[in-house]
Amino acid sequence: MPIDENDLIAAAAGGDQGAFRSLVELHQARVHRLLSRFTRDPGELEDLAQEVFVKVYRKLDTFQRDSAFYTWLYRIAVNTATDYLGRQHRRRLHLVESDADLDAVRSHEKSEGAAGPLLDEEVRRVTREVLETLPEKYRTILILREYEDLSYTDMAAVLQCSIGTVESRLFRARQRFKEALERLHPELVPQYSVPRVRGGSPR
Amino acid sequence: MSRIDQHDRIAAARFVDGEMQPEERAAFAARVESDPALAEAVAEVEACRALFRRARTEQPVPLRAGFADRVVQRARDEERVRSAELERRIVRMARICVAAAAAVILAAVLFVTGVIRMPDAGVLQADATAEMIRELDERIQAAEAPPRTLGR
Repeated sequence: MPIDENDLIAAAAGGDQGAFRSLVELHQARVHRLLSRFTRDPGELEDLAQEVFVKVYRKLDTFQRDSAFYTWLYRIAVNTATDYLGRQHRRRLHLVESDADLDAVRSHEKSEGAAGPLLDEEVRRVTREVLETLPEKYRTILILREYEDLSYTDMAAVLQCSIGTVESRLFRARQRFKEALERLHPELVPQYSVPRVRGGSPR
Repeated sequence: MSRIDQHDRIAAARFVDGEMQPEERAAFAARVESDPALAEAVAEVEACRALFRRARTEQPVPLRAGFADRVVQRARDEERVRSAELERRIVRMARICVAAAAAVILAAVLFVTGVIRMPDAGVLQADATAEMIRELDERIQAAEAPPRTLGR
């Protein structure tokens, strides 16, 4: 029998820890995935994810039922992650791939002539690195849009701003991302601009 | 090639992100067909999205088993700590209230038994009036005094 999320929320808000546990199980993968865009350190990730759900537990009675639970949950997760980044004093995010790993990837690429999956590995590393250099508000909106695929309406709900603000912030975030990419990794810019190079016709 | 403004660039993003209603989308697509600058703006957003699509194939950091149990335990622990803190605050507040009540009762007892007395209201008022008169006198004298000259 499928579990009704609203029933779980109501029960958990009333102090039912079993219901809260089910609610955590229902959303843990999603929250975990979102937070892993902010840090790749497994220990920090676990701690952050726990912090998010403990906040949820404490604040469940303030949840307004007229909005979607996951946008409310995302809001808490994003705020927790950005607070955490602030606490870390904007230290560099942990990367799974070290510079040594990247060197290995590059040398392997040269020797084997393999471009597909290895290049994707580099794209992941560079994208993460460039994102890291952006101001927090731009990084967050790009994570929500490009990694989490949230609609403008959902982003507005998560970030507690208007859709107009989402539009202009996302526009600026993409601009800043492109500028940073050109500055830090010009070798990736041709890939970034493929449609333009081919004549600028959108597909 | 026409120049496009920020409004058009934002529209290009909405177009690529699928945030336009069908009619608006059709009209914008027609504009893109005829405007190379707009087509370039659309291509730029598409390129950005394509890059992130490749980047997001990243494998998630594995979640350790028993996560929900650990969360429930932590929530329970934090709740216990909060309850204990609340209890401590209530006890502290109760102590303060008891001490304040004891002070009031003591003052009342001392007053009733005549150990301490309230000053006479008339005397207080007379003292205040005398003080005001003294201040006024001082101001008048200061105003009547010849101005001080500097130097020789």
